[in-house]
Amino acid sequence: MITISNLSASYHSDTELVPAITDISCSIDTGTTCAVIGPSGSGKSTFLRCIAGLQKNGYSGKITFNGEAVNPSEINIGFMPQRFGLLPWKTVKENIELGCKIKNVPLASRRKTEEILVNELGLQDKLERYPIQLSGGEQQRVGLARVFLLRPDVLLMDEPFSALDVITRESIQKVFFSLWKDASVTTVFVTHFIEEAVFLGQQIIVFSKHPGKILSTIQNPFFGRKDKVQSEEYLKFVYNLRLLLEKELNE
Amino acid sequence: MNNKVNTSFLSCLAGAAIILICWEIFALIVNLPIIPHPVKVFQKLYMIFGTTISAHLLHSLYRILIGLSCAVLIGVPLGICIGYFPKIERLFSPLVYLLYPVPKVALLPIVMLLFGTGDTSKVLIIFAIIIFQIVLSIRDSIHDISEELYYPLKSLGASFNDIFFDILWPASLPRLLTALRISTATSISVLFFTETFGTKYGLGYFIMDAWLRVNYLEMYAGIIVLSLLGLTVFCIFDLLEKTFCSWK
Ligand SMILES: Nc1ncnc2c1ncn2[C@@H]1O[C@H](COP(=O)(O)OP(=O)(O)OP(=O)(O)O)[C@@H](O)[C@H]1O
Ligand SMILES: [Mg+2]
Repeated sequence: MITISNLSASYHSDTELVPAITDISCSIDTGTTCAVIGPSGSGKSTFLRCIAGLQKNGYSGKITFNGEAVNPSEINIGFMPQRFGLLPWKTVKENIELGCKIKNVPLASRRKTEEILVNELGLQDKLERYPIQLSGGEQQRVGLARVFLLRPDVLLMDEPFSALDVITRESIQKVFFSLWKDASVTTVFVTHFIEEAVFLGQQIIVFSKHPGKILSTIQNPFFGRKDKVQSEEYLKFVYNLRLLLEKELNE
Repeated sequence: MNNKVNTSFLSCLAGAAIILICWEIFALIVNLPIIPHPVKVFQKLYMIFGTTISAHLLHSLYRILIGLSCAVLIGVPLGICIGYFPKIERLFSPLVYLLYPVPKVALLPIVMLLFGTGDTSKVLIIFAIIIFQIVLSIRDSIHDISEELYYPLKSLGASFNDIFFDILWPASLPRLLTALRISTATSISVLFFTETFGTKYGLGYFIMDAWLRVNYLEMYAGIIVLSLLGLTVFCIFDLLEKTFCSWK
């Protein structure tokens, strides 16, 4: 379980400390998924960086993983940055295998998974290219392949499907969903799409506008239920979420 | 790819031809021994290359290579440390900034007093000129690395070793090669200058000696070899950049 209590983080502007997130407390059960949604600039990326221990000037508050402080060399945290974080000097294949390389996971044991993953993400004929030769959506899929292949203990993804067209996005959401069903990786992901949060987040955390705090933590009954998208309850649920965000932005 | 190499080779040849034609026309107009005809210079070069010039060339080559290698071996780690560790940067950056604009050639008398007139001072001066360009360009390329590139590695607890070989070194390679390419010209001119003192070997000595002997053909032959030396080093860095930085 990931437990976060009273988490705050801020940035130095010219003269003062500007808070980005303030007093965030929540917990994510092992093997569950959590969607973070909220206005642009509300501190969602900052929140993910804090969990991964990447926030440069640190944070106040406490983040624990199964009761202990998060230690990246002990647990595997797969982190997918908002702009994918591909290394420009490595080919697609090398980028995909980077996580395993760092963690000394023998690649031979992952060959089959890698092949399936690459096919599902539609990257099979791009493996020898460099990131600069890919479209934004293709780069994003390489970033996804990298974190999926590692099968980490904790998966943190910042707007993981944002650069994809609607149809591809839905098919890759399903790829993620089936991967998650296989391995039940504890996942926190940021999204701007309410439907995405409702499809893939067992828990939905709604951030307020800047500086971010938690507006609402919602247990989501429609997780993984594509069959319910036409139902009245589903539409009402989505509508209420939308209303919440709208109200926050118009205040 | 092959086609590209061919066209750039052809355009190089065309460039050389233009220079030679201009030179020939100039020689015809001026019509003085100080501007000899290119054909005669190349005949002379062909005659004396094996007997004298090659020995001078080897000496110059040796000094350039040692100077360049030392500058790379020390400049690269230093530049990476300055760029990556803010504490080291705070310590070294003012030093680099203060020393960078000092014209190193002006230090030649001091260096020669301290290290003698031999190869050491010649190599040292070349080293001192190139290392600053290397350190600064490597530091800048480390600064330019987007923070996001580190995230997927650091979130997995990557060691400094991983970060060095997967990020820092490949990220600084293109600018290192550019810096080396640019400093080639500087280091060749400096080499020429330092070789006019305290040595009987090196292209600088050869050119000045031919000049004093009023042997203009030999002098020109020396200048051509020195230029070709610069061109070769330049092309090698160019080729290295094309091979190892094809991801750009
Ligand atoms: N490196 C930084 N230096 C200073 N301020 C920053 C820095 N990074 C983020 N901020 C500020 O912190 C706040 C939160 O930023 P963050 O990137 O976490 O937002 P976000 O919710 O991810 O936004 P988006 O949805 O647009 O990605 C913003 O107001 C932003 O301006
Ligand atoms: Mg963000």
